[in-house]
Amino acid sequence: FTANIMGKPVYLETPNCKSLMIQAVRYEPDFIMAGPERIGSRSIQPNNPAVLIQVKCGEEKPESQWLFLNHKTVHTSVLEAGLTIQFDSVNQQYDTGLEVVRDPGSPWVAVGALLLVAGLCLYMTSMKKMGVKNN
Amino acid sequence: MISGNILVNAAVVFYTVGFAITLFQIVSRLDKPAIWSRACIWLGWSIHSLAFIFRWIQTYKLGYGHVPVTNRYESLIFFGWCLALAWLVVQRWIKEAGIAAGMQIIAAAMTASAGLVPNADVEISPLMPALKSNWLLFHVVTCFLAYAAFAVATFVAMKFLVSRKSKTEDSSFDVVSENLMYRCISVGFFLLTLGILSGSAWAQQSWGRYWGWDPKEVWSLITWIVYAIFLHARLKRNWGGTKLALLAIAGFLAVMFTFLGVNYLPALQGLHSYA
Repeated sequence: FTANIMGKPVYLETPNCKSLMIQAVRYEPDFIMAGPERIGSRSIQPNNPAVLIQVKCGEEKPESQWLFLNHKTVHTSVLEAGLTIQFDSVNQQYDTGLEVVRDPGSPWVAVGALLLVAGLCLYMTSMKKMGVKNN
Repeated sequence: MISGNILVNAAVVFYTVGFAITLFQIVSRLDKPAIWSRACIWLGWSIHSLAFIFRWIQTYKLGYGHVPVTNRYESLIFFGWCLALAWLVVQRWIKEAGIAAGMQIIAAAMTASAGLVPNADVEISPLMPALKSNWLLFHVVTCFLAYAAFAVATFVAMKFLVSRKSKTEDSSFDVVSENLMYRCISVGFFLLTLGILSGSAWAQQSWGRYWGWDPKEVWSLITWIVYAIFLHARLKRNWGGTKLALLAIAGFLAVMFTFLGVNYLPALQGLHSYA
């Protein structure tokens, strides 16, 4: 049967477990694994959607497993006899985060930067005059 | 990509051979090997440049089109290239074999260590949006050339300390090497200032603030202050000799921490984690 997870845990009753909790804890639209602890997305395009499923029976230690939309038969989590979980579809939604900054002092920052560079240029061109021992 | 890696490895081999020849030159006290060592570095650097251009073209072929200096792997290779370039520039004035050996081995080591980086991002990947800017090239090039100039100054300082201890050199070496140290650090300081300024202008564009006390930013400021102290001590307090040499070495330790150390401390993970 199908459960729509949407970030909220789903509870099932199975022959082996009275209250089996299934939760999608993480989603990566374009899964990439660059190392043991380095999992991320190449882009926000759903090229290789993967979901990290966490399964817990009662108060037992939770188990987690990555499931892949494009490779449904790989890593299919076999949790207990007869129960497998498959990643079937995803409805990806986009959010836009906007940050707005107002910097009334930015011309002064530019002036400061220019003065700093001008000072250094002056210093570089007048190194000999400043009494540097010559070879 | 594979052929690019072969070119990088070839460059490392030439740098290492150059280093070995310089060692032979030091032990044998002959002058002739210097020419061969120089040839090796020129050859290595040319191949290294080819590898860099090759990878740059690759990014365009893959449709991303960015300078290949955007992750740890690429930046170590680029740093090695800058070190070799710095040595090729200063060898006109610096003939000391000890300094040559130091620059050759650090160029080889930095370039080679790109392959040893855990999770080296050898594959070319698209640039993350925050890095897409025209500041990228300017910021990275000024910073790495500054680091390379500081590396030269450090090896001059080390050579200075060693020869002072053994007292085999005449005192004219002291004045010459003090001046060399001072000049390299002046150039490096100028470039580092440009690097920090361009970095903050870029940070303003992509993160909305000039300065955010990111670990890398803080350590670049520390490095900048150490070298500012060096220049002031030299010019205003007339420092020289051992004290000045130690200050130059301290500055380079700050450089190495800014470049490498910051990224490896788990507590200091910042926005610069990609390089």
